[in-house]
Amino acid sequence: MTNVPEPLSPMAAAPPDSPDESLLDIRGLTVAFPTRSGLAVAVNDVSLSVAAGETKGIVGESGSGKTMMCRAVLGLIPQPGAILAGEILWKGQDLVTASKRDMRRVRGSQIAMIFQDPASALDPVFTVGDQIAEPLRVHRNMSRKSAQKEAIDLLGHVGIPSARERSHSYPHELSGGMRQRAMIAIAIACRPDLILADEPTTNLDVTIQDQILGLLSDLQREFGMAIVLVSHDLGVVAQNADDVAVMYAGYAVESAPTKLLFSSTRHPYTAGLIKALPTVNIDAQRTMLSPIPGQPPALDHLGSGCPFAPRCQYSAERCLQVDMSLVRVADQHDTACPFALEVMSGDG
Amino acid sequence: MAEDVLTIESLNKRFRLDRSLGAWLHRAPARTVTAVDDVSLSVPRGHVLGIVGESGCGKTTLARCVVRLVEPDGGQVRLDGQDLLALSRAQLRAVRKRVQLVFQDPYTSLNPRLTIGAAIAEAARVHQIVDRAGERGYVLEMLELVGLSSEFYDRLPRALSGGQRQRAVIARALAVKPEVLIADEAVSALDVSIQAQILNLLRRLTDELGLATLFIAHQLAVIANISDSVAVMYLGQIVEHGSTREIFRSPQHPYTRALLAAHPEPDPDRRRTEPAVRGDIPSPLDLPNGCRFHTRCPHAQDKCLTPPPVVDLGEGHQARCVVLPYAEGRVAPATPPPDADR
Repeated sequence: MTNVPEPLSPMAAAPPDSPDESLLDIRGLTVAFPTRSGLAVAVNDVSLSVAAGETKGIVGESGSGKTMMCRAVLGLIPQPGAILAGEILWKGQDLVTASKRDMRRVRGSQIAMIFQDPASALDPVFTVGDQIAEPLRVHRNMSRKSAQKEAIDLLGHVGIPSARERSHSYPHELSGGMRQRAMIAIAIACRPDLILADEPTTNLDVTIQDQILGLLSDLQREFGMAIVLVSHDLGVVAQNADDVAVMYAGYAVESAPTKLLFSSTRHPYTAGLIKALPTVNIDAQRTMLSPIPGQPPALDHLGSGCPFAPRCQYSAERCLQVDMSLVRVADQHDTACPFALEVMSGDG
Repeated sequence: MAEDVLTIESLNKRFRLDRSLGAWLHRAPARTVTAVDDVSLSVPRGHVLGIVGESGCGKTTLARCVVRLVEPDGGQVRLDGQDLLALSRAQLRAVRKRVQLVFQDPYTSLNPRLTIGAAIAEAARVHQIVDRAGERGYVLEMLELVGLSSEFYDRLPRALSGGQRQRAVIARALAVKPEVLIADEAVSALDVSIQAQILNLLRRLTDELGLATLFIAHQLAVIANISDSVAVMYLGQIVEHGSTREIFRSPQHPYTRALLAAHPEPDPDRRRTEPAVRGDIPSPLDLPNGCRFHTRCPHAQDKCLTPPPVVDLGEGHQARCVVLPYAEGRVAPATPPPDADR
C-alpha cells in the first residue's frame, strides 16, 4: 500500500490530512441477523483496508459474508440485520455513525456499487438514460439537459453502441451484458473514488464476463478509482485483483497480495478451495479433484474456535481455542490460522 | 472404443414463436428460434461426453429432445440401436427409465413434501425395479452409492444443503438403473468445494456402472475435468467436437479459443493469448448468414459468409471452420473441403 498515485479524477477529493494512505479502512466489523434459532453472525470481526486506485478481491462461497460486508459500507444492511461492532472509516470519517444526510452524500457519489443482478437492480420503469442521469442531477446538481447529455456520453464510454438511441431503452430491452454496462455507467457517473462490485459478472456468459471485467479495469486505469471485487470465483479474482481477502463463515481467513495468495497459501481453507478447482489446463488436470469434505457451518450455530476446523485436514484439539484474529506470516500476508506455517510448510 | 449406447443423428429443433395480434393481422410470417441445428453425437458406455456453450446455444433443448420432453422436428435418437423418436408414447414410457436426467436446480427437482427415501423409492417402484419388501434396503443402497448416510432416508429436501440434494437427485436417477445419464448444468449452482464432490461422484458412477453420460455445462474447467470427449455448441450448432485432450490442447475453432481465452484461470501469472471477442451473442431468432460466429470472430474472412463445412482433423476431431485448421496447417490447403451438406 505504498506509492499509490493520487486519483486522476476531477471529483476525487481525498483529504490530504488523512492519517494513512487507505481510502477505506474497515476495523472489526461485525454484522448479525436475528434468526429463530439465535443470532446469525454474517460478518465477524473483519478488518480490511482499500488503498486508492487498487483492486481488492474478496472471495468466498455463498454465506461467507462477502456481500454483507459491501452492503455495510453503504449502510444497506437489510432489516432486521445490524452492525453490532466496528468502524468503517471512509477517508477518516466513520460511516457507521454517520448521519443519513452524510451517508447520502457519500453513497453513489464517492462510493458506488455494482450489483450482481442488473435485471433487478435497475428500475424497470425508467429508461437507462434517466437512471444514469439521476445521480448526476442529485450529486452534481446538473440540469436535466446536461445530465441527459452526460448520460449518453457515459453509455458510449462503457461500450454501448448507438448510445443516443440506447439511452431511451428500458432495462428489459437490453441484453444481460448491456444491462451490466448500463449499471457500470450509473456507478461511474459521479466519478467515485471507490466502486463496490458485488459478483458483477456471475450471471453473465464467460465471453461477456471477460468484456465486463476488461471494461472495469480500463475505467479504473482511466479514472484511478479503487475497486472492491467480490466474487465466488477464484479465477476472476486471480486475474483482476491486486490483493485478495478470503472469507469463510463470516471471518476473513486469509489476506495477501494476489500472487502470494496463490504461490504460498497460508490458510487450509484457501488451499482447499484452490485444490478443489478444476482447470482448463488439460496437462495439469487431475483426474479426481480433491473436494473439501463436509458442508460450510450454519452461521447461527458457530461453535468456539475455527469454523473451518470440522472440514480441515489439519484440525486438532487446539483449533477450538483459535480466536480467528489475523496473524502476520509474511510481508502483507495475514492468516487466521495460527498453525499455518507449521502444518502447511510443505504446501504451495 | 466400446459400442455407442446413445447415438444422436442430425437432430433438429425449431420453436415457432407466437405472433402478436398486430403481426397476425398483418399476416407476418411466424418467427422461429433455431435451438438445435443438425446435431450428431454419440456416447459409448462408461464415457462422459461434455457439451459446453453459452446461454441460448441449445444445449438444454438438446438434452430435452433426447428424452422427448421436447419433441424434435427431425433426426434420430437411438438407444442401443432403437430409434426413440419412432416410438409411441406407451412404448416410450418403458424406454424412458433407461435415460435419466439430473437438472441444475436440486431445490426444484425434489418434491418438498416427500422424504428423500420416499422420492427414491417412488422412482424404483414406478419402474418396477423392486417390490415393496425390498424397497427400503434398495433405497439405502442407492443412498450409499451417492455418499449419503442412512439418516437422510427420513429427511425432507428442505433439511438438506444444495450438494446433498444434488446427491439425492442423482440417487433417484440411478434407482431405475439407467444406461444413459444426462446431467444438465448439474454442478452449476453449487459452491466450489461442493462442486468438486459432485464432479468426482458423477465420474466414479459413470466408470463403475458403465453409464453413458451426457454432461452439459457452461464452465469450461468443469467440462475439462469430467469429460472424455467434448462438443462445443454455438447458436444451435456443434462448432467443434473431439477428445477432451484435443479440444483443450489444440482447439481449432475460433469460438472454442474465445471461450478458453475468456475463462478466468485461478493463476495470477497467466497471460491471455487471444483477444477478447467483441459484441453480444446474436439472437437465435435472427441467425447470422454463413458461419454463425463470424460476427464476433477475430479471424473472420470473406469466405466465412458461406456456411462452413465440418472439417475433419483426424481421430474424431472436427471443427466447423474454414480458416483456422487451414491457417495452422492442420489440414492441407489442397484438400478440397468436405461435402458442405454434412
